[in-house]
Amino acid sequence: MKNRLKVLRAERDWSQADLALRLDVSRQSVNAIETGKYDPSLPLAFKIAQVFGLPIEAIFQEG
Amino acid sequence: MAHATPTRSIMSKPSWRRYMLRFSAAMAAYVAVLVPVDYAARHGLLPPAPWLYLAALAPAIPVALVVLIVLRYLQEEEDEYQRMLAIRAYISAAGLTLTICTGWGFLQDFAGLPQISLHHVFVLFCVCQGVATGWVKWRARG
Repeated sequence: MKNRLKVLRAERDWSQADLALRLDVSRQSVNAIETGKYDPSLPLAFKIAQVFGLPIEAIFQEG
Repeated sequence: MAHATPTRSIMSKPSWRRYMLRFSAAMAAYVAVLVPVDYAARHGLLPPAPWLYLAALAPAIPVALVVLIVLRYLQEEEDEYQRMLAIRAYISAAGLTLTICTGWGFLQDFAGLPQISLHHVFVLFCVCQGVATGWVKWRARG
């Protein structure tokens, strides 16, 4: 699954640690999702969408 | 400044701290039970059966506790990615322990290597778990 986490994070000038703090996960988790090593669960994907104020499909795409 | 945010390490998480505390307590209990039972066995001080069996099995109770503590940690870990890494490490450690023990068993049967008491399997698993955790974290670094 592809995602736009890195771009969305850069737009807000957030570091991985900033996003991790907002999601209440470790920085390694954000890095793993961002680099496509790990696909988040549906609840975490909803939380990510909530943090960015976007629908899930605007962040995650199939592929 | 956004980039000055401190990284939140897994070790600062309450679930990890609780796990380490419980694990340390179980290991301390293991030593606290094993040392006197071992001493009594060496000096012929163990009671007769059926108490003998209870005394001999007593050090296995903290081992069972460690298994429950690990399961509890996996339930309590809020970070799903870290939980997945921990599960991967435990499965790797179990596989490594199984492989080493099976290999040693064949070496005993076919190559005449000395017999080792099965209670060492727990210590071996703990070592394998440490190695597997390091390996899994190293692979997941980033």
